[in-house]
Amino acid sequence: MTTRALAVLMIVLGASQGQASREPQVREGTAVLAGIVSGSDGKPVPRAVVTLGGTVTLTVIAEPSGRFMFDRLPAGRFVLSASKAGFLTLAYGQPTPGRGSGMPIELKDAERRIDLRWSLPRAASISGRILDHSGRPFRNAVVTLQQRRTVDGESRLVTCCGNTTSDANGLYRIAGLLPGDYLVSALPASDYRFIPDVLSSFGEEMHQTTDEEVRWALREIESASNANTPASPRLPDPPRGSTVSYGRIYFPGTADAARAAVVTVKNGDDRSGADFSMALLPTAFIRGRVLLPDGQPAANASFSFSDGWSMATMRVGADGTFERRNLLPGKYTVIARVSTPSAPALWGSREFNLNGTNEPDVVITLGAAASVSGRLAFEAGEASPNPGAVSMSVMLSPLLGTTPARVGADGTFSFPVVDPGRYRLSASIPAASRGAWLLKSAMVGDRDAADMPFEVKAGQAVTDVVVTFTTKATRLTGTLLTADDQPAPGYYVVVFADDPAQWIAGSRRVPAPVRAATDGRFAFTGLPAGSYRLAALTSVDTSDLANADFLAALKPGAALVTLADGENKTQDVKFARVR
Amino acid sequence: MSRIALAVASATLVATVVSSQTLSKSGDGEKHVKQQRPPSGLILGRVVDAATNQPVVGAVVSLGRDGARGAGSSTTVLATDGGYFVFRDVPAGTVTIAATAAGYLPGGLGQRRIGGPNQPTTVGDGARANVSIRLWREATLAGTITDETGDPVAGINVALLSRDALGRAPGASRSIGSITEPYTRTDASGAYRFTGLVPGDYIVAVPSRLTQLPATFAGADSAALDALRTSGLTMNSGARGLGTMLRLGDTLVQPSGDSLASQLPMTLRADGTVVAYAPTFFAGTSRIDQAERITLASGDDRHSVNLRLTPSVLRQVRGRLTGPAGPIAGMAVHLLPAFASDSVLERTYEAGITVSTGDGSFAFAAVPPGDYVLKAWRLPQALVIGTDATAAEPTLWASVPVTVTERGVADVAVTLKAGSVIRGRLVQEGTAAAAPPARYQTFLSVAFEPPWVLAFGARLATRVTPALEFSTQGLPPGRYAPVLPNQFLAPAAGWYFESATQSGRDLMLSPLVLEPGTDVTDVVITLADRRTTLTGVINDAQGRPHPTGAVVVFPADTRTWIDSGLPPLASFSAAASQTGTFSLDVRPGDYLVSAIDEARLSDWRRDATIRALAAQATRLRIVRGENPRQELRVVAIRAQTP
Repeated sequence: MTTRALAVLMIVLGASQGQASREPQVREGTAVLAGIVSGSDGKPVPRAVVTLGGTVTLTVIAEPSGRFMFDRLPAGRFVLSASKAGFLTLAYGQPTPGRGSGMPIELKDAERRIDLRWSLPRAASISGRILDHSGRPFRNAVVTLQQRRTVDGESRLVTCCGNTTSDANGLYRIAGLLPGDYLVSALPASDYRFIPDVLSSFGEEMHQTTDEEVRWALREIESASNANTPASPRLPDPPRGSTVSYGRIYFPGTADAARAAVVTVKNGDDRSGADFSMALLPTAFIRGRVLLPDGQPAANASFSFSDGWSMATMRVGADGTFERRNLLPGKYTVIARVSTPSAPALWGSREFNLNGTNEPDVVITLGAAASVSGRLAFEAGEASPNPGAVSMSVMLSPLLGTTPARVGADGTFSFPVVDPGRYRLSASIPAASRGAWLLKSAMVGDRDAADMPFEVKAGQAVTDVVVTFTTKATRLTGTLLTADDQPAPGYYVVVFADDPAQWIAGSRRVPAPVRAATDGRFAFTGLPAGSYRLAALTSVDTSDLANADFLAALKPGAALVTLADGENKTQDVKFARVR
Repeated sequence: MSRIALAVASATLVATVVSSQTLSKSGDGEKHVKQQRPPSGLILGRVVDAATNQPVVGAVVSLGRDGARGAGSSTTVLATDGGYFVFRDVPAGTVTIAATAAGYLPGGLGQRRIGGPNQPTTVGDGARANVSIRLWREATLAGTITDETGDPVAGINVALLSRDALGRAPGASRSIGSITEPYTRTDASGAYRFTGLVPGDYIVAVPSRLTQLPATFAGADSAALDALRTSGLTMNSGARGLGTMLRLGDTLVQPSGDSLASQLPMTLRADGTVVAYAPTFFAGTSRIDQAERITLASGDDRHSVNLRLTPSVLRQVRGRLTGPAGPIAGMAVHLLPAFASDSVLERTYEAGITVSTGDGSFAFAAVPPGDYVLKAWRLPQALVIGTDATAAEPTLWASVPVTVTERGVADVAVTLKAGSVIRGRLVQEGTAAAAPPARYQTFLSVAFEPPWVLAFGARLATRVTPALEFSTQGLPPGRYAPVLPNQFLAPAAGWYFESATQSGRDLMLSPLVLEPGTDVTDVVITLADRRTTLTGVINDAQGRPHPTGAVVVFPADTRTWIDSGLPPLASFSAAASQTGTFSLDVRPGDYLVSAIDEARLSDWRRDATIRALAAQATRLRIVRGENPRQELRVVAIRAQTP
């Protein structure tokens, strides 16, 4: 036992939240992890919150000297992470905040690792002032940061990093930021109920009062209140003011995220002066009819309305009409569907670019809907689950307007109405009945749609999809070794398909990187059979693997590994004595 | 010092409120043009700052048709920069107009004071009207939370207690008003901010609560935890399981995950001591009675309400739970700060909760030093209003004050006793048809609310016999201030609540005191079959009807009630109409009657305000069924203006 007065630990029971934590266990042992958390200037960070994850989960606050200690640990594999207001959270062995992961620490019984040291970079901040359209402070605006990230192969804006509210002087500051590129935007406070929302009709249409209306109303009232003279003929009504609403405004003052200025901060930057003004935006409405192929109204057709962020689904009226009001400038997609068990499904769609101009007479004529259908197959081996008894489902991703299809007792499935687009297909068996079964492939023609998207065209019926399950999972293990055959700890191991056509984000053939433990070992399980490249890197982030250029650069130097169905392969990786 | 002056509160008059009569009248003069226009109204209005009368920029104004809901039931406009708005084609009928603007509290047409209601207005056919809406500026309160080294504490909950929540004397706190405790979370800089606040007194707090269980509970399933509910154990993660708990010796500790709690980790030092932050109140005290009250006026932007948290070394509190039949196992034991015990604050500031083990022993492993009360209880199972209250199981309770010093506390004996019972009878004075006993059961079940807020909430059943004799279930000792909601002024058809006495003492003026081990058997609740109504008119100093007056009626015997709070049925108040007339139901008795501006209706029950009013008030004896009339003049309570 160390004699130093160190911050020690608490053993946490119940590893994760949810149902699994009903029966927590007390884990105690004889190993020790201790060290010092410092800042990038080398000075200790007082009272940082240090958390230990892995075999047990523990939290301590470090001493003012930056020292921390976890004792009474069982043998196991641990990841250490430290956080502190004003600094960026960083795990032990993590090369860059917000990217990659910490280096797992393997601890044996009674092992003492008391020299762990790492430093936390300073967090950045962005501050500025929100003004109203006439230059006065805009208070209580909710200021949000967004970043562009690649999701499902597409560049999207992702809200991150918390938010804040502008104060009485319109000032705001968002701290604790990672270095990076940010878009700053603001909306009036969340209890401000006049912000349109696609998901609900909660936002109310708001007319701007015009000076002309006010003058007219004053004259009307004056003439009416003069009781002695006959009321004068009514003045002609002035036109109503246009409909407007507050919407999200991006720095330096645009409603269009594509025109927003990127605010770049580096480690510890305090970026000030991101000032911008809230503005009223013109709103519009869309009104129209959904018609059957014969021109009759499609009564009660299902009707989806999307602004690209979120989608609301409702039904058109009995006369086939629909209306959505209070729409901010932007691109909207309307999709109508009719699906009955007795007749082929129908589908129709329109897109709109609105900027305050109404679309009062839209006609959507339905045509034949695209569909996808097929069956499940189980390779010979263990007893296969009975689709009639177990609720298995098949999913298309992205989940645009479809719900997972239930697999029938005969093993078949069908998506009767599919929006045109590119999809991957996956299937799941409830955990209780799954056993060793796992998805092997989902073949659409000669393409494995479990990894490679397939195209569904408007009106097309994609049939004969075969989803195959196997009990023979592949396993690729190995050890990273130095030129002296010593374990090389801490590197990231990356495995990706040899064929560039299969470099698709989220595919099973481009799995997430694995951090080799302190003993240099790594393992990948469940890779589909095929040819792969294997490389070891000092630093990598999952998002890098979505980048084909990154993989192309790696490929020449990476080891070629071929996995057969169910193969269990060991591939050690030895570093050459270079540099 | 409070000072009273007779004055006309002309500055606080609503600038222009068009009454329904005005709207209808303007419609009458236009019959001959009816064919030219639809029979609908026109409303021109202006939104102004209540304090400066300057136009409010960016106001959003909605006209709602009374009773209509859903799409098309309201019309919304954005006012001009001059604050003007116009509603056209307003159909005849009753409408309300609401207005919001950044930096202002929500308001609307006919609102006469901060937080007061909007008044519906009737629009006649073809009416044309010019109206004014006053909005009051919101107050804000902001600050930074730091730790003992001066570094910001991010992601911690900060609670704001309004004056209503603070209570007065123990046992009286519930009668003060509803509890509002907004909370927010500090950002990455440790900063917090509350917006949209109404004027008043506030206390800022960083609460903390630790659920502590014997380590043997590690494997407990949710059914076992559910069984503890009758003694008040509710887990923060819901009844579904224990969630993440930390082990300290033979105790598991769960920093509260609920909305109001600190989520700061604790530190266990190498010497075996545990360090954590205790609840802290601005300006840096762990006792609410030493907290600084922050008075906010309309439009105040208070900042630098900063709190530095100081960690305490946590101590152990150990003891043993016994009952009439020996040690009690598996019962929740509650640790309450002394300041919170027997008040609404029990709910939020419970410092810890644990469960007794097989031999009745219990342990809190992590308690900041201070004054506490240990409480334990077991309620009868069938404790539901409307059911037969004669449960076989008695109510068991224990309440033991403990002072936790740096040595901790060992061997506290917590002995549960059977609850005492309040018995009495209902007396119906009059000839109206008697109401069924079941109707009175509901009435009485809320009449005697135990001060043990955590234990009882509103769950209490009272049995009423056909002879109208009643008895409560077993109750813990304490002061039982009857807290009858105003609708219970008429508990049954044709019968009106008139008085509640015990040994001749008026329970509306001083609470019933239930002593341990002693039942109270002589409560008499009198109902009468005649309603007693006070009516009158409120005038200004010139003798003209005051349009924003309110009448307040409070007991003449000020000595009795001033220290126990002012139970709702001891006092009465109502806003007068715009023509100054008022009408309110009261109980017979000796009263002081006064008129104030409606703007003071929300805070007139403060001690100092009532004392000041009492000096100017009119004395009035109200006798059952006499329905007196009273003419009053508005008094301004200058010294009390924040």
